[in-house]
Amino acid sequence: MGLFQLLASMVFVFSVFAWVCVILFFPMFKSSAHQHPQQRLRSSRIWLYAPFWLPLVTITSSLVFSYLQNLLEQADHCFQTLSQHIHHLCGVHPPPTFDSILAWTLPFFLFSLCLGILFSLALRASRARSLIRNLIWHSNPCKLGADTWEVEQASFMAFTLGFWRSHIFFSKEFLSKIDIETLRIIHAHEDAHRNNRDCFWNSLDHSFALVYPKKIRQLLLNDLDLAREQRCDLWAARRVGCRIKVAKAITQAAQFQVLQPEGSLAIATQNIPERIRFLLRQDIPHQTLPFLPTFFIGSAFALGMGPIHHFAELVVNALLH
Amino acid sequence: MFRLPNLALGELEQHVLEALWQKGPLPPAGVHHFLGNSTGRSINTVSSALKRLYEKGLLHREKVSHAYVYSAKLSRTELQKQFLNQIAHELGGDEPSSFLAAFVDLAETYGEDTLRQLEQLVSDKLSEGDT
Repeated sequence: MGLFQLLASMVFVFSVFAWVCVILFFPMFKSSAHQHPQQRLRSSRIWLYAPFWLPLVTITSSLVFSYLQNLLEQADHCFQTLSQHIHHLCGVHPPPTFDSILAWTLPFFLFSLCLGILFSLALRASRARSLIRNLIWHSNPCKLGADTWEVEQASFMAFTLGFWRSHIFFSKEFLSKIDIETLRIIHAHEDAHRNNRDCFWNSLDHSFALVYPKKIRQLLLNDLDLAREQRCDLWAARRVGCRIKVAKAITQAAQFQVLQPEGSLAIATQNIPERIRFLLRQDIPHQTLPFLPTFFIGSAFALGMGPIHHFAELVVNALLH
Repeated sequence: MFRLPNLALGELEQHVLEALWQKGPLPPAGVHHFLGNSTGRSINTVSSALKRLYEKGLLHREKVSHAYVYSAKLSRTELQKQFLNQIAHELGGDEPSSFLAAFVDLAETYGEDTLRQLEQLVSDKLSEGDT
């Protein structure tokens, strides 16, 4: 019970620590244009979700290493300061429970916040799902591809809409004015959004970004938007075999001033100059693989064994004694 | 916070709307006849669907003799627009902007000059024959 109570408190402490770090350091260390869009997308998400993953990785790795070291009898798995042995983030010697109302209320606040965000998102997604089904029912199938629909709207529209499963929509006006080659490129771009489940991730990112102040939130979301669009541009370029053609399609769509409903994803509404300049570059940066597993294993070692584990112990020590 | 009325329609409601678009103003019996008895729906079920659609603001109704005659308030195009507006409201998160937000942003952020310069850049690359 003592260990569980301590872990809950540590989740809160590390979440606040990560939140402050994101606010202070993200503007300085945000991803650069030299990275591959996929990698930029992942690193931006690592920043965005830091208050949620960092405590879990730190605490899990601390516990795992304490068990491992105890099992292998290679070293003293507990923190030692002066002549005292202190057993805090240790599954072998759990600490006693401490009598503080904050030990439960602060983690409960964090847990409720996460649950609230997810619940609100699920509710909105479920309502939107029924409406999207209705919209599809009243739309005509489009010949450009599967699950692609034509809406009878007089404005220029081309977008991907949905939550987990998304659908591509084009307005009748748009289909009648744009040449078939450009339409295929735009469809390939939207198809990439659909295959990557970008609508789902976009909704999740926007919901969790609400925990940050407005300025940081906008920086994070702009970075994510740009990386996501660039990834789909590259996907479309691979399909048509030419990056310049995709750049041309973006400028054409921008000329028509394509409308995009909030919450949907469209080819020509965000970061157009950056995307076109990226597509026209001679060299597209390579993606270093595997980025995420390497990052999380590295973090687990660094956080579980290294000075951050000791820092955590010092924080616990200061709180308890 | 302002909330749009929930427009989500069931399958029967969609069939009823379709009937009214195709046939024009109809009483419940007329809609029931149009939908056919093969679906196994009673006239009361169709009547309830018409009433729900009326309450959602999608139908007009007028009392003729003892029965209401219903007609569609919105065309298919207008209904699609309403759906898009409501989806935008649901998925727009806690900072919803209007359906036209993307258009406004685009016009404000990238003027004609920027777009022309970008087009020129693309044309130059295309004429170079560089991929």
